[in-house]
Amino acid sequence: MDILIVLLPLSVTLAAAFLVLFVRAVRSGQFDDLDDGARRLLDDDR
Amino acid sequence: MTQKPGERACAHCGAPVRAPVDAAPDVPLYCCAGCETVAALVRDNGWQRFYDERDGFSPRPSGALTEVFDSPAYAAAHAHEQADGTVEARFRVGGVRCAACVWLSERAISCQPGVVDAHVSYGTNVATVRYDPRTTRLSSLAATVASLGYTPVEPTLARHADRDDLVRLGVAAFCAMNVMLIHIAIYLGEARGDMAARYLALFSWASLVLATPAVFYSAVPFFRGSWQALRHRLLSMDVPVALAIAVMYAHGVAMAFVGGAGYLDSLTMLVAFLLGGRVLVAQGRDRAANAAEAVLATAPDDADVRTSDGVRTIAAREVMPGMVLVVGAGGRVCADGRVTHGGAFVDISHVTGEAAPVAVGAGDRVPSGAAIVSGALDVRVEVAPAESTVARIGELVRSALDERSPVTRLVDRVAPWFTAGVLLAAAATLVGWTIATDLTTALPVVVAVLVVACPCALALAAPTTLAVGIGAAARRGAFVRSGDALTSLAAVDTLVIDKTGTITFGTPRVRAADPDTLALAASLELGVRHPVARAIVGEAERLRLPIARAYDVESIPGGGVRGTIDGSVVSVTPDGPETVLVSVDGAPRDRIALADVVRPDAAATVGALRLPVLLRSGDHPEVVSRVASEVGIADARGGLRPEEKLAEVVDAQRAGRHVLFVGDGANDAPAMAAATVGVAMGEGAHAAIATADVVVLEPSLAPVHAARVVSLEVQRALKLNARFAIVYNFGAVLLAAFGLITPLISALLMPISSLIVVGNALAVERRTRRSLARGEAAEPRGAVLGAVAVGGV
Repeated sequence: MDILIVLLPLSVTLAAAFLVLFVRAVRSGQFDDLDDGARRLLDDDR
Repeated sequence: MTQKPGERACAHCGAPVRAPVDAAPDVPLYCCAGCETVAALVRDNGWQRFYDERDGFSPRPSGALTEVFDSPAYAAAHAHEQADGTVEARFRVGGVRCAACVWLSERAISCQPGVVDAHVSYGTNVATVRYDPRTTRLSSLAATVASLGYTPVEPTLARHADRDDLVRLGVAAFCAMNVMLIHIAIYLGEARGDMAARYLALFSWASLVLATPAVFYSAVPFFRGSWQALRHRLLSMDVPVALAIAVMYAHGVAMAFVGGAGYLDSLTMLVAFLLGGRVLVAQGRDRAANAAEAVLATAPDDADVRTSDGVRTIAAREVMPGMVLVVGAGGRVCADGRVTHGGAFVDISHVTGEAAPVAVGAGDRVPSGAAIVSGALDVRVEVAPAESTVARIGELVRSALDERSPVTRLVDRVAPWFTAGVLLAAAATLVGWTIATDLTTALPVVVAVLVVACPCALALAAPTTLAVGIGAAARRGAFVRSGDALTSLAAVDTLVIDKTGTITFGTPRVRAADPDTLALAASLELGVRHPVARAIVGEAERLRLPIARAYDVESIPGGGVRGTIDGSVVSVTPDGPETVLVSVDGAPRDRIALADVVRPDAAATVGALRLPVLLRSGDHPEVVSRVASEVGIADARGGLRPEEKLAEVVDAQRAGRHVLFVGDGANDAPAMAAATVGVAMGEGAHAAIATADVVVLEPSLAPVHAARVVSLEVQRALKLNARFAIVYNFGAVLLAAFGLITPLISALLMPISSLIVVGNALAVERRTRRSLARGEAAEPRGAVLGAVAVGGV
């Protein structure tokens, strides 16, 4: 079961990668105005 | 806009331009160099589709001053330096009239050198710009917007820093999920009793490492909150939460050295759950702040001022008393003032709530925000825009937002008792166990007491219940702005209701008319935008009456229309509150009776609410009493101004009553803001919708009743959840005090109690459906919807 010493950090790293993606999405303002996206759908050419 | 022969509209701003004789009809003409420059800018950048997609003409460019955007005071309120050296700043793009304007201003800012990202919100017209301060300045970005004819202005409200809360939630959720997985291995190993010590150590240390960001980053708001409360010698709900987190983490550190299961999974889960609730609440408040911004967006941001050498466009905030404003059809007056010249029909429904435009001439007063329907006016400013009607409405909304919510107040009132109880229980446990055994045996028990005493369920109960309630109300056509509005709605005991547009449809309909007269009037009124004209034309079309061609149609200052049909001069003029007079060649011919029709479900809804009702309207008292008797309201008063409506609401509240106000006009906005709960009919004025706690988007009053039923169910669920949470905490503390709670049991209890609370919240939808179905007679639509929903399930 010593493989756990590799697998545990590996799975945490994988999950951390998703966390980084989420944090970047928040910081880039994707969650700032949740109503705006719905209205922008009506705009083509974007 | 109508043009005289030889004139055409400016292709940018729509002002009349004298066309050269040889001008080709498809070549655009411009009124001034400014408009031509904007058009050239738009064309050269390939933004031509702006002109194809805009809803109307655009504002004329002005040389608005933009230095103010570089001032330290502005930067402190609306600019934030980012980690990468860029600056994120906000300003509102004034003068935006349609989606194409948003598109154009966003494109124009994005194209400037040094701009990393630009975003203009559709709802609030606020531009959020991220730029490199070494390359550009905010003032030059604002100038870009100004060069397109828009007016950059300071936004009303500073942004709430809720991005940090979202990141905190993300980190806590990440930690919670990983720690939980590791703890499953620990619990299984403990159950079998054959896990090697080095694996146990690995898991303990791994969960400690993973729980650390949840405590030292995600849980910071709880520590900060409890520190602030303690410094002011208060006990808020944050105190027991922070205490439990600290105890659990300290225990986890100890267990990492010893090896074994700690409470770290309970800890991370707790932080994630609580932050989820926080984010929900913050989102509700942001939505309300945006709504306030939308109210202020209705005020015009620029104005044309008459000067000695013509007309100049300046920003609305530079308008001073004594200046003369020039306002044409489609424009809005930006300050309270008196007409010096001209005549026009103006729409002042935001002040009076009555849909019909009012004729004004020299000497008459016009309020700020008045929209010119036809004609043109010179207005001498009497009150600066900052103190005008619309600005006051904005002020009212802002102060309402600052008030604390009743739910938070309730929780804060319980908090000291709760904390005191927990500390007492912990102390008693410590003393009891130390006397019975010794300190080393006593400590884990005390830790268990402090852990299970954490008011997680109590803190979760309110937000989830309110979220479900808001959803249940929305499905029935009532959009509730915040959870607090929903709880307040359950507490109301008096209904103050507006007439026009609320009990009635708000637009007049023809009640009685001779078909020939109606056909004649309709021929004249075809194409006139006045509500009475629309009613007459609509009725004529419904009856398929022949509509003749009218020539030289013009509006009569003081009310009415005149034109030539088949060689005779026909006029339609107002005659009493609900009648118009049709005259041919100056001789009265016949009258057309109009009436504002009562909504078919008005009587049923007012009855089903089972509240004392006061009908308060700005309309003619005669009309008001007729409508009141039709709906069955005993207490009715008409002819009220907005301040008087506000006074009625405030008086009732002084007498200890909780007022539910239902209205539609922006004249209702102050009363709506003051009322315990304000409901706006969605077809009404923009400002009213922005101030309201509840917005009904259907042409019906039934959703008002549905929202009230939902609020009562929410109230019940809130009480139930609060009781459960308290019983749960009490029971769990009792068990812990007798040493019966282990980390595994705590890890099971925490989610189970949370799920029970959420389950109770979800029951609100089902109960609402049942309550509405029971009141079938009063609520046929709700019952049908309920039946459909049941059938669908």
